[in-house]
Amino acid sequence: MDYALFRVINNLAGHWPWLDGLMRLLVNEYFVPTTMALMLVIMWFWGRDEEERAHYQRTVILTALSLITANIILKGINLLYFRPRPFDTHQVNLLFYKPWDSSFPSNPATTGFSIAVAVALQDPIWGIPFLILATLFGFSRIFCGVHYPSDVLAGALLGTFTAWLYSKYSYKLDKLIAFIRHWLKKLCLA
Amino acid sequence: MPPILNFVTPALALKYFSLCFLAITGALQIAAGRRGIEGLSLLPASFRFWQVLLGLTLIAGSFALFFVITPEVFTPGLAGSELIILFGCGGIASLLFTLAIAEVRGRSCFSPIAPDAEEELTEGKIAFFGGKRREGLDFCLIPDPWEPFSLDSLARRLANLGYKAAVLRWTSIPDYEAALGFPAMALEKYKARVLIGHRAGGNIALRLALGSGVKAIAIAPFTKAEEAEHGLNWLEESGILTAWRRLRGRKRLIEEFLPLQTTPHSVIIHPEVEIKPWRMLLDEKILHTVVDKIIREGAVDKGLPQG
Repeated sequence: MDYALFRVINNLAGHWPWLDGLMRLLVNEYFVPTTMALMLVIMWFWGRDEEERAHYQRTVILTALSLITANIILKGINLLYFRPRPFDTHQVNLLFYKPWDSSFPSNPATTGFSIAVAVALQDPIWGIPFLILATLFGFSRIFCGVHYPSDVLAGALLGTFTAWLYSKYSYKLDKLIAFIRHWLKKLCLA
Repeated sequence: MPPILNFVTPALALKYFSLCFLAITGALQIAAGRRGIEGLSLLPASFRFWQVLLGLTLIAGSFALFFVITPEVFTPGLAGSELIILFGCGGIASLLFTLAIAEVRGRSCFSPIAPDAEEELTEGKIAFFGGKRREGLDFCLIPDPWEPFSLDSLARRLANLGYKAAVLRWTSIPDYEAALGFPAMALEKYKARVLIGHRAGGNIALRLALGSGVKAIAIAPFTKAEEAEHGLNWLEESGILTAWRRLRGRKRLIEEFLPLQTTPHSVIIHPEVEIKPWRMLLDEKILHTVVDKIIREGAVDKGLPQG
């Protein structure tokens, strides 16, 4: 099932140059993460007054914590379990270089969804573009032949879990968030 | 043992750092343009559309440039930790660059205007505009102690209209007692009929009017002590160094002048929407409106000659 779905998506590669180009833009480590980080920079300064600033800056801090936690868990899973990449065991349409680390769970999907869901849970309107980017990021990894759908799904679930965790227990971080904002306010940056 | 951080090649690291620097500068312009944050703006904050456009251009241009000059994008490249470090460094560099440019570009130009006469008092100086005769002043102007020349152009305009005006020159940063003492002493000595103050000077004028019965016109006085609390709000009107000079450590003094208490003769000229309180005396058009209001209000019940 996983492989069948992989085939369906990966077989789309190589037919339409514009689609290949778009996926090659999305699949690399630079475009989507940097765009998301830029959106978080804008979000940090977006508030009109203290109340809005507190909301947006809280969202950015929780998102950063969600991302860090998701990546720590991901490294742990990588140490315990190694899954070969699709191109290691099958003939695939490969539009990207051959990563050597474990395929499961997908690192980009974990990163993308730990950011996107964290933002969406705090601010659904801002969450929409983040979720679109995270989904495209994950999809492009299958399209370009470097991940199975289950890798991406597991990464998305892991990212969603850490985002949910920080959203649910965010009140426990009120002091930390206030501390960070307090010091950044001293520098006129919050 | 492999290195903890692997930047692959210095060229790749430099290219990604440059992408981050330019793109974050663009992101700051979008936020600053959208929210009118003068202290983060490369262009004057009133050019909001152009600022957002500049931001979008910087972001799109930096990505385009990065992908054109970096064929290594499609080879094993920077990992998460390296990306985060380079993004952080790019962010700090961009922030420092933007703050510095905004400070230089947006520095307030309240420069002193040569008075017709000047007199030194024990607590400070007083500059006379509109003739050298010093008694029976029409207006006594109290600038904010941390922006001592903000009322000079207003005084010159009033003098050109035929009024006698004097501007207090603070020579030291006052505490509450001194903030009231120096203007009170000048008021008593020169018998001004109307007090005009700007920002903290406005708060001082209103407070003095309570006890003396003199008419006070406060231009953009502080209405909340939070205005002097550290934060991003400091950058809304000026560069970071100007904001620090004007507001750092002022909260307590401002608190002592709040809440605003007015007499029936007091007038407060609040900045209109989108007009910033420090900048309203730098804009010729707004200054003209302020002078009109002052003449109208100041002349109503004190028998001042209409200019």
